[in-house]
Formats: sequence, structure tokens, C-alpha cells
Amino acid sequence: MVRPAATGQAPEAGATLSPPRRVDLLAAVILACAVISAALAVALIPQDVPGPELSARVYPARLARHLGNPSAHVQPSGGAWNQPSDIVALGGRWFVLDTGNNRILELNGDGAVLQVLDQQRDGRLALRGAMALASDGRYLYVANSGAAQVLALTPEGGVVGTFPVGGVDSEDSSPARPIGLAVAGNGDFLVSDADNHRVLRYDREGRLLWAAGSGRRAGGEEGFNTPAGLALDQAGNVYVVDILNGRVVKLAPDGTFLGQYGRLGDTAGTLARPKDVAIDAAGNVYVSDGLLAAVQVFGPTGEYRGFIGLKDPADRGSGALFRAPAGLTIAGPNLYVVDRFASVFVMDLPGEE
Amino acid sequence: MKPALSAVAVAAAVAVAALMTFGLTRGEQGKVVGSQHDLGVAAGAAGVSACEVCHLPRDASGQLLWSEDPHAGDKRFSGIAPACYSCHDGTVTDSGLHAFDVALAQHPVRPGEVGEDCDMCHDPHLADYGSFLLFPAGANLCRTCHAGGGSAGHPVNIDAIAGGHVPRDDSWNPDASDFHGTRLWDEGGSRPGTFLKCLSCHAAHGTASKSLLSVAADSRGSPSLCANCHRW
Repeated sequence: MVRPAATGQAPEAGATLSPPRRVDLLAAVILACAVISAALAVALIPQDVPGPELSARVYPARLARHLGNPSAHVQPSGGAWNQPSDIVALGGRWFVLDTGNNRILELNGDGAVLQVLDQQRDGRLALRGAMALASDGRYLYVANSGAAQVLALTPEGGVVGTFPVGGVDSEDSSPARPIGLAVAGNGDFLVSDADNHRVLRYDREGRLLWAAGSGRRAGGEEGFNTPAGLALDQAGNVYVVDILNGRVVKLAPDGTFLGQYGRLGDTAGTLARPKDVAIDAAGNVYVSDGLLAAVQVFGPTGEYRGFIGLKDPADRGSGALFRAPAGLTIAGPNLYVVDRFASVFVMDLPGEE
Repeated sequence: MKPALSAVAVAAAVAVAALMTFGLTRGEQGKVVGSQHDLGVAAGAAGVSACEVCHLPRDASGQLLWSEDPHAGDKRFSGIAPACYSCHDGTVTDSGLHAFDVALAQHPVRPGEVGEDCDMCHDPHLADYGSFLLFPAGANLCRTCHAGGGSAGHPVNIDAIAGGHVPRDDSWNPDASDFHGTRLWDEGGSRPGTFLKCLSCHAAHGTASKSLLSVAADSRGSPSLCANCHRW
């Protein structure tokens, strides 16, 4: 078949198109639709739509002091820290989990190392990538992440309890990897198992009381993607950082889902890589974010209060105070922020309004 | 136009329309889906897609927390590294923590520059070669930059066992090396591997040696690492 040369004239009214030309027309129509849909998509991109802004306002916390050298990763005495992850107070004494060196350091108020708690102190204190530290006021508790256990120890490093973690479901594909830890007033302890996506509550003897989460990556009320830092409020409610869902989940003391703070994102009030959570006496929720290099603050009912993390809180262009904020602890008027690469920041919190 | 060609034109138009409407091809997404970086949750409105885990969703009603990289200008921690570390920090995974150990010598990088940091060797979307490497591990990867095989000129890609070299494992220091590097023998030293590779002796992610050797020279000055294969 020889196709006639195009004349540029429109077909006469009533003329029919041959099948190939109908196909050509169809292709042209589809392409035109694609161009139109793309144009519409560009025109309707959400960020171009003006709307009510959630302001990235600065939370009025002030840097009081550092524990350790914030730039050299080296203590005034006692050697280098390696990616510390958590801090806890016990009877007025301060202990930092020196994760990369598999040890716990006791610090004085200036950050100098007073003692080193490691396997030389007690052979059972064989830490393997431990990620969380807690206290019941008498003992230290450490989530020994690489060994699927929680250890209880005296402030001098003597192990008084070893509690295996996991074993919830025989079909779990991974051994437990506890990376979050909190101790309740009655001696129960709670653990985040990152690799099996659960939060577990044990009694003081190490008996499992309940497990929250489906055992696989989940969202909403069904469970967690990567549960991490834990905290308890004065009513015993449990706050769980859910890293890859970008939120903090609030559970009742019996594990019932109550609500959540934040969602995944990089704007004010959203969370990119939340790591740990702390609750002050007024019920405000502080969330460290390792990727956004900030601590974001929510009110008790979830309203956004602002963020901590500017070198100069009065200057939005002053850059980030933190590199990779992680473990949080509140003691009195102070928020302690462990930075994986820049020691511990002690922040003065504003008084209650 | 012949009918067959017209059909091809229609198919192409449909493909273009699909691309323009839905963005990524299945192939591009497929590199992540099912890989170790497939960390999303398929749970309807409560879910987070595998893409969103790293390519954070932007809230139209929110204000950016930082107008630019909060670490801009940080000579050790900017660019892609904070994103990698945000999971490889012992939380989402305990794999790769040693790559950020400031106490160990690490492969030289230029933080903040595209393709010059973690992404010099890794692509988080590429699961073809293990460890999300850009090229198959071993000499092929290293030789993309180190074409000469290093100043020592030690031969690689040789079958050590066939050559009569049965490696020992008595000088391996697992606390000062890259656990994930390719080794000539297994971790227990009981089952030799096959081919000598760059990573049989070097560890890109942290060693006690500035030359990124897996084992430092011993107190007598002779390299213990060599004695794993060479007898004298």
C-alpha cells in the first residue's frame, strides 16, 4: 500500500479515516492527554498551594553547658567517646552509654570521667552495641542490643540481673534487638525490639507482661515500623518513638494505643528520624531527631511548641547546634541531649507558663 | 504508516503518558522494593512507602525546619552522610556503625560533595551487588579508582588455595576492621574462601592502620597480615 503524500488539507466533511490514520489520531490524543495531565499535575503541586503555615518557631531553651568536649569527642580525662547514645541519672550521679566502646562512663558535672563500667569491672557486663540506658533509682539498666538482653547493674558496674528479651513468637525471623528501654515505678521494664517491631513490657523478674506490635513493619494502631526510644509520663503512659513512621506513639500502661505525635516529614512538627523521647513534669513531649539535627517539642495534647537546635536561638541563620541528637533525659529544669558525635548538651528549659 | 508501526506508536504514547502521570518506572522502584532498603509499610493511609522513608514527604502547610542542610559546611558530617547515619547508627540497623567510628581510619571522602562520600561506593537504590555497592565487590570496585592495584602491586583475583596458600586467621583483629569486607577465609578461619581480593587485606570502613590494612604491623615491624598467607 502506498500512502499518498500529505496535502495539508483537512478531510472533507463526511469523509472516513482509514484504520492506520485512526490509530495515528489515537496516539496523538493520548499524547495530548498526557501533556494536559502533566500540566495539571504541575499546576496542582501541593507546595505551590498557599495554606496555613505551621511555623518552625524556636522553643525557648538555652544551652547551659556541655558534658565533654563537643568538637573533639574527647573527654577532659578518661579517653575518647565513640558514638554515645544515652544518658541517665542515678542518685545524683550521671552515666553515659558509650556505645562504640561497649562501656558505660560515670561523669562528674563537668563531663570528666569518674569511672568506667565494662567487662573488666564484671565479666558479665559484655556489652555489644548497647543502645539504651535507664534507671529505677537503685540500679542501672542497659539494653544490650547485640546480645538480645537487658542487664541490671549496680552503679559500680556489678551485674545483678540478666533478662533475655524476645521469644514472643516462634515465627519471628530475627532475634530481638532491644534499642529502647524504660523502667516503671513498680520495677517493670519496657523494651523496644527494633528488628521484630514490638514494644515489650516485663515485670521486675523478667516475665513478659504484654507485647505491642504485630511482629512485622506496621503503622497506625496496628504496630510499629522501627520502635526505638521509650519514656513514661507520671500516669505511667508509655511513649514510643517509631523511627521510620516518623512519629511518637502513646500507649496506656496496658499497651493500648492512645494516640500519636508527629508524622514523617522535614517541616515543623514533623519527624524525619526520631530517636528518643522525654516527658517533662508538665507533660510536654521532647523528641530528638537525628536527621533534622533538632529536638522538637509538643504540648501534652499534641500541639507543636517549637524546636531546639539553633546555635543561637535568636538567629535562624546560625546553623545547627547538634550533629546527631539521640538519647534524652530530663532532670529538674534541664534537658540532657546526647549527641552521637558531639558529647552531651545540657539545656535550660523554660519554666511552666 | 503501517499498522504495526502505528501500534508501536500507540504503545509508546501510552508509556509516555504513564511515565508522565505516575513518575518512576517499575524498574526503578523495583531496585529498592524487596531489598534491605525496602523499609516502608504497606498499610493504607497509615503506611509509609519505601520511597518516602528517605525521600521525606513535604507538608504543604508546614514550614521547613531548616532552609538548607543543617550541617552545611561541616567538614566531617554533611551531605549524604547524615541521611545514611540516620539509620546506620545502631537503631534501624546495627550494620555499618563502624563506618562512622571517628577513632578508626576510614577511606578518604569529601563530605557534602555528591559522589564523594558514602555514595562514592554505594547507591542506596542498587541492590544488585550486595551492600548496595556500585560495582561488584572486590577488585572491580576498588579498581574503578585504584587502577594500578595499589603501590605494592600485589596480585589479586588469584586462587590462593590452588596456589598452595592456605590462609591462617591468627592475626585477624575483628575489633579493628571491617566485618563486612570480603575476606579470603570465613570468620572462624575454618573454611578458606577462593579468590584473593583487595578487601582480603584492606577494609574501607575503619581499621587501626592508616593504610586501611585489616591487620596492623606487629611489634617486630613485619606485617602480620602477610603472614596469613606467606610463610618465611
